[in-house]
Amino acid sequence: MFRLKREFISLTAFAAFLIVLPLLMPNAYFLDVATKTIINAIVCVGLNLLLGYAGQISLGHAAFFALGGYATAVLGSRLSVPAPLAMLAGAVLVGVISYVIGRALLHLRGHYLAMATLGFGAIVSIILNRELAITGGPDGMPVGPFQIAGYSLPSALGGYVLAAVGLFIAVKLATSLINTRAGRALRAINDSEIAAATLGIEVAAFKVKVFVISAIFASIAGSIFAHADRFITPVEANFLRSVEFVAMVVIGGLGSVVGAIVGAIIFTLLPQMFAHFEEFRHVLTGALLICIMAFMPSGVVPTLASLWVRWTEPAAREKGSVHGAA
Amino acid sequence: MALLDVTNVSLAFGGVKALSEISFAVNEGEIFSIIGPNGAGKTSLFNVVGGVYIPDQGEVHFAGDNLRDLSPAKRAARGIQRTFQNLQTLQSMTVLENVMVGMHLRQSSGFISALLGLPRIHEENEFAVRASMEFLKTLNLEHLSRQQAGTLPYGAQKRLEIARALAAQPKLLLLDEPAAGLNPQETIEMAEVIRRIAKQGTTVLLVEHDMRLVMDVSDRVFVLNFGRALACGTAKQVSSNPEVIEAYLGVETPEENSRAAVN
Ligand SMILES: Nc1ncnc2c1ncn2[C@@H]1O[C@H](COP(=O)(O)OP(=O)(O)OP(=O)(O)O)[C@@H](O)[C@H]1O
Ligand SMILES: [Mg+2]
Repeated sequence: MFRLKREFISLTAFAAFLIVLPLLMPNAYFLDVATKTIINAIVCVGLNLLLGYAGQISLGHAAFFALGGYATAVLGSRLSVPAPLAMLAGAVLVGVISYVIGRALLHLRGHYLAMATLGFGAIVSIILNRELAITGGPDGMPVGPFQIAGYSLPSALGGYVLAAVGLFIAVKLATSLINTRAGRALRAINDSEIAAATLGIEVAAFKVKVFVISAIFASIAGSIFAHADRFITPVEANFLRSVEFVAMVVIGGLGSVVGAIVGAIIFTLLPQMFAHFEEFRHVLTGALLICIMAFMPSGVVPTLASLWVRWTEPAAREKGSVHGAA
Repeated sequence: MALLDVTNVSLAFGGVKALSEISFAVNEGEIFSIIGPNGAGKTSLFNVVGGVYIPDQGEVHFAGDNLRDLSPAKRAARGIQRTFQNLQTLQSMTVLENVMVGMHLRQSSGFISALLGLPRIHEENEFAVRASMEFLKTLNLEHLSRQQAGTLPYGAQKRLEIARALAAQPKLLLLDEPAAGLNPQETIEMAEVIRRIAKQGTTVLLVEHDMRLVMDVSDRVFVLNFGRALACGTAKQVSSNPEVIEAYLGVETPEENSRAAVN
């Protein structure tokens, strides 16, 4: 009961934060950065389920993101499908694709998923660039606002609200999962596949399911991005974007929902903060990330959390209570 | 009818014949021990029964069914559980969560209800916590329930694996050296635990180097040597078998015991 109450309080505080945040943004530029950060965070919360809890790497999440975005763009803007339906269609498409990929590969040991998703991402990138008639090619295509029954919020704020609602739902879903039979099974697989199998957990089936779920998170985030940016280009499917998503989750801290969000914040804000260093900003960003990984190898949030526990109650260390599940 | 029936099983790793034409049957409710020097093939035999290794030859029947095509997870679903000689506790999870994972097969909620946080999840969790605490009590671990499993001493992790396996309510429990790393007092308690498990209706297959424990609890003992069956019978019969004494008991017991203690 106690845990439920604490979870409820954290989620309420998180919702309040998301509501207040746009009021604190001095101008449209900052609001846009906040929106982009939140959209990245949605992908990270989903990817963390795969990477942090099931221990599997995907290098194709940018492709799932782009597919969601293009489903929204093509179906919504070209074919006038209602926005929520277009978003759903993208999610279903990505769900089916990720299921097929996962089903074929996830019973194998090793990093087949990483390689296959990398290849898949490249294919998506090529298709988005080449299919001019449908996707507009490298120039991309415009996207309308997110409308329900013909009604939509004013454009910049509309994007933010959509992203914030998306992230809140993503966080709610992910935190619900962790302390359940399915969530424990995932964590068990990450700790010891042989033990998990011996306890009756169908390891491959669980990996496939969590891969599909995390791909769908990325797809929804992509749809939100298309509406928020009112434009989408094949750059979104870029391999480097996939690597960035993985890096965000690792930097924030594997296996922590808060970590996934913090990773997205750090990774999205740093290049912006260093913007006036022009081309040096990538060097600075890289150097800072290397420092983070050197001093906090398990990620920012788990490291700070264990420091906090050690600092506040030395005896609590032996309870090993920090799980980063909040 | 035998609960577990191993027939003519052979298994080789390259040139090493880990198991050669092994046959035995374990009756329901029995405590059946497998002993033999290091490298005799005991753990390999567990891996064959558990489905980790597919034997080159021979068959394993459980409750009348051929297990050949069943994965370890499917065998678990049939009622086979095991512990590991080299620990396989879930290191990053708490002691309590380890045992809750042991209840995986007895519960049924999936991803959808978990993601949506449906009420049945909370009921399931509460039941799992309560039941798991009981299993922890059985193995004297309840005071450690909130600790991370990886931080426990070796002996406690061995007991945790037993608690976790019991949580699945298995018909057959395979214990691979449960007394390794335990002090004499803990070993006596372990004997008591094993007897209680059998009394509650779980058949036990025991691999153990501590001869006092084996002689104490076993209904029957099966002796392996270099992958071959050397003898099978009651503890008394086996310990007076000259071949067994030569291969194992007589010469090696003291050394084996000290090895088991540090292992
Ligand atoms: N995965 C493997 N690959 C290669 N050889 C193996 C493998 N597993 C076991 N062996 C070999 O098979 C033989 C039997 O090993 P096994 O682990 O079954 O012995 P054991 O009776 O359990 O020994 P111990 O008392 O030391 O635990 C040994 O020679 C071992 O080296
Ligand atoms: Mg062994």
